[in-house]
Amino acid sequence: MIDDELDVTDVPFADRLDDFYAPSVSLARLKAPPSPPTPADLLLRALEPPPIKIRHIPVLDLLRPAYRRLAALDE
Amino acid sequence: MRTTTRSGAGSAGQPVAVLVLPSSGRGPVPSPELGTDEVVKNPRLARWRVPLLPYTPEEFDAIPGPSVRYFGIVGEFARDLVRRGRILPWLAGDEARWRPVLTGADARRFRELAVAMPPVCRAVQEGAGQEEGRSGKVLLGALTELVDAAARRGFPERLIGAYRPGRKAALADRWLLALTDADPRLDEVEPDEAAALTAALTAWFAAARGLGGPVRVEFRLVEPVGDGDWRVEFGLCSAEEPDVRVPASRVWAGADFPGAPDPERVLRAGLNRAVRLYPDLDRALREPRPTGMRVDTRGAFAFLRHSAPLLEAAGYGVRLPPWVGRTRLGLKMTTRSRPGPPNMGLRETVDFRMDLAVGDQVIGEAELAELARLKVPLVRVRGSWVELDDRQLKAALRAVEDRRVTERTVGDVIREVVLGGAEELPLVEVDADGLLGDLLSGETERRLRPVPTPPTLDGALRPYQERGLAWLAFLSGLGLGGILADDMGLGKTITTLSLLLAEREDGARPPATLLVCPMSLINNWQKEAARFAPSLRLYIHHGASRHRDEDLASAVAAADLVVTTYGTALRDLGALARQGWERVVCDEAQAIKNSAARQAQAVRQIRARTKLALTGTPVENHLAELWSIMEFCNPGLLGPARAFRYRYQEPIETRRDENAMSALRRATGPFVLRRLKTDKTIISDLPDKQEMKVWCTLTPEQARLYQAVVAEMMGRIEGSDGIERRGNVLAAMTRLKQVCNHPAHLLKDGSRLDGRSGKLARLEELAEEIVEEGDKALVFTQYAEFGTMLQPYLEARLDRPVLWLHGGLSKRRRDELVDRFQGDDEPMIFLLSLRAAGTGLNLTAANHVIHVDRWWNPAVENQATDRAFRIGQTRNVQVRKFICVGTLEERVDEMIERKLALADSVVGTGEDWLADLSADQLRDLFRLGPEAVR
Repeated sequence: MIDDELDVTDVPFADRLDDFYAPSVSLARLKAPPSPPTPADLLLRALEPPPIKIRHIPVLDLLRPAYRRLAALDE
Repeated sequence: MRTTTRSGAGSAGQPVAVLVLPSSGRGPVPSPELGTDEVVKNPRLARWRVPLLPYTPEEFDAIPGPSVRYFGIVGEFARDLVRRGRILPWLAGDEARWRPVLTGADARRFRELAVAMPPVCRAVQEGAGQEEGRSGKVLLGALTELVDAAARRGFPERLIGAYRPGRKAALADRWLLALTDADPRLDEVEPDEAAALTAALTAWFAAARGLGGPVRVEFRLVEPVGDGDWRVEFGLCSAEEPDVRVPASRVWAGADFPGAPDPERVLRAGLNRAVRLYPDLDRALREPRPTGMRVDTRGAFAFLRHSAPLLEAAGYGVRLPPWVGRTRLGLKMTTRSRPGPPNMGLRETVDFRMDLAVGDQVIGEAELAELARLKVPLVRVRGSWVELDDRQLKAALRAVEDRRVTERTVGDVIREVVLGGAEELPLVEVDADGLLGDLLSGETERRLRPVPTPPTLDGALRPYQERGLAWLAFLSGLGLGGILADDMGLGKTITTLSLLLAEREDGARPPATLLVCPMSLINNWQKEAARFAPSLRLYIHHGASRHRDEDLASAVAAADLVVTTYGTALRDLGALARQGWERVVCDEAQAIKNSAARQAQAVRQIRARTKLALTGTPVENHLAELWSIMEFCNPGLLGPARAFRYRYQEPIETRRDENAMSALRRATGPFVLRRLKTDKTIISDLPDKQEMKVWCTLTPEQARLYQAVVAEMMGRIEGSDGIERRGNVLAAMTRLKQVCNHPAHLLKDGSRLDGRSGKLARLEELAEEIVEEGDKALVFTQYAEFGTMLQPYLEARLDRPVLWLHGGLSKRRRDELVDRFQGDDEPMIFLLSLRAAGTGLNLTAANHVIHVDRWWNPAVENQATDRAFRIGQTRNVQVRKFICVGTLEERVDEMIERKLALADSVVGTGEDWLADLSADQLRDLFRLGPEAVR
């Protein structure tokens, strides 16, 4: 299932037979500029921690240092 | 993707899917990328069982189609989400997975991608009753897989050290391990344990999704009145329309808020969550109905420097006073030239003063001492609030110390301006006169006296070209390099040739200029130099017969201009670097945009008195490229790449930081001349229609095919007469023109297109420049099969729409294409069949016309050109006609030029008149000249 917030109305195939293999906007236009840098652990910091523990350690304490290193992904 | 929809299995156990595809009676309609010219008038939808062939990019030597490239963009979105930590772990059945958290701007981005999805991406039929997949669902599935893969790459190590739980360990322990393991599966999952873990993770995920709701809590920093305190005030605002807001006091009083059934609850919950990012908020939350909180100056500074960016990034509304990030302490540099000695260029000494400034106000030493004494990070300077933390204060005190230096050389001042001060104390204003004033104004070209057209130029420079020549001569005189980045078609070639002529006007013989360009442009330089600057001694250093060792040194010594390619420059680097050059010019300088690429490193190693880069690409849009090209022109001037990235590139590309943008303009302005064809002063200089010939070469493969066709067809022509002979001549012409277009056009074998045709290489370069400049172009070909080949190829290269209008289209489809081209503001290319679109259409959205092959009937070509150049056209139109040198294309073009002067009627009937030529004349016409292949 997909949330309403993410759902879109699709054009029926019958109306897209001429450009069935093409995106509805050009790929150059679809490419996004880079997102502004934010701390990669911001989401974890903004939320109440879940009641999950691993060997008595809150899962959040295990995830946060790992998340901080995500900003360097693919660099 | 890790999982694939499987709707069954083929005979050999091969997975298959059922796809819903546009079809004819014979089978699925070929996708345009296949390059077939099969036209299906009324396709219908039908289901097909299609075998699935998994492959990795490395094992596939082809250009991926738009649907695959679309998923490439989805993959970049997935990596971006992971980089920003917008993911949470999840238990999906018996698998430990990562999934995206899509809220706010990310949810909008998701919908944008879903709406754009090519229909074929959702053509897999998953159930018997279902015909068409839903793009949102398909996208979420793909994105989740890509996020999971990227996250596993981002977490190369276990999250909990060396601990490796056994099969009987708690589910949460094993789940955590599997989150970073190559295999996400968990064995022996107890339903009760799984339910408890899933419930916790579901609540966590729901809370994360709740952060990005349509109504959000807003924090507003309010300046003190008089000597009072700062305040942080609370309220609600709309995520979609930030101007729709209600202060907390009214929310507690029962005010409504659109989209929030219970505004009080939204406000209270949001404030309670925000305390995790803004701990000082805890103080305010002790009140039952908080509306805001007082903060002292330090608290206000901490809020705007630390908490506000975090809150904003987490999806809260944040409003700051308008001066934040704009008005800051900086340096103002003043220089004054000294009267007396002659112009010494960069070594000239000037009076120099550096002041501290806020905006346009200079701060004195006493004032700075008073600010330092206050020891607060937010101070009011002459009515304006300014951020002034410890680092800035120390830098300011150091700058005051340095003011003892009262003179500098012009070269030192330029370096200081380019460096732009320190991060904590940037250079915010420069006031210079004389030579420096001209150079640093960023309008050098307008302030200099134009250099008149050199008498040895066979032609006349337009006024803006004379200003460009003055700019080039000015920089060159100073020994500085520059980037001439005028829009395409404004005459960078003729201006550069004029510079060489001007330098030789009084009989001077400076060392040769080395010009490096893509192979596709060598002939253009040769032709343009011969046409406009015949007095320049030219040596083309390219091909197997090029000079080496002492012969090369002699050739260079005897030349004014040496032209070579990037490839040859790399191969002959040692020999070329040993010559003494006046200047190295890089044409199409985007070829050296990647500073680490070997050809960029090679041209940087060739020493010369000055350097010049020519490019039509707007360099300000590509900052890493700008650094690389500047590093070629003026080595070291912009500092190391890493410092440039930190100082300019990141702030501009990620935040559109205006301070960084103006600092970069100031730093590079003196060395970059870019005029747009839309500039008022340029438009008035330009003719309404500029016609240019674009000289192309053949690849060795094209040359071999060309000669084979000539040999075969001349035999047939000589063995025939009458109508048969006429038919053979026309067939020979057609086949030779096809070779000139592309080997695959002649062979019709569906083979790959890239790297096999000089004409196509030039077309690609031009098309890239045209769309980069935001323009639209009409590209005419007389061969429908060539257009069918070009359309998907160019679209894949450009990632921009490439429309294709030919005789096989219905009237409705033609009208759709024309409407899109005229109405859509996106840069694009419109490929047109000369026969199907040569008359009648109104395509004034184009300001470029390219005739990629020729009908050799000026009237027909002009009619086609007039699709763009007609009533309704408000811009200058550039018309380019492609001609392969050393082939029949060049010779027929010469004949037409000659005959045009005699009588239009002689050449007014297309190519038929050529059939009357004698065998010897035809042999001469078809002959392949040595200049055809480079």
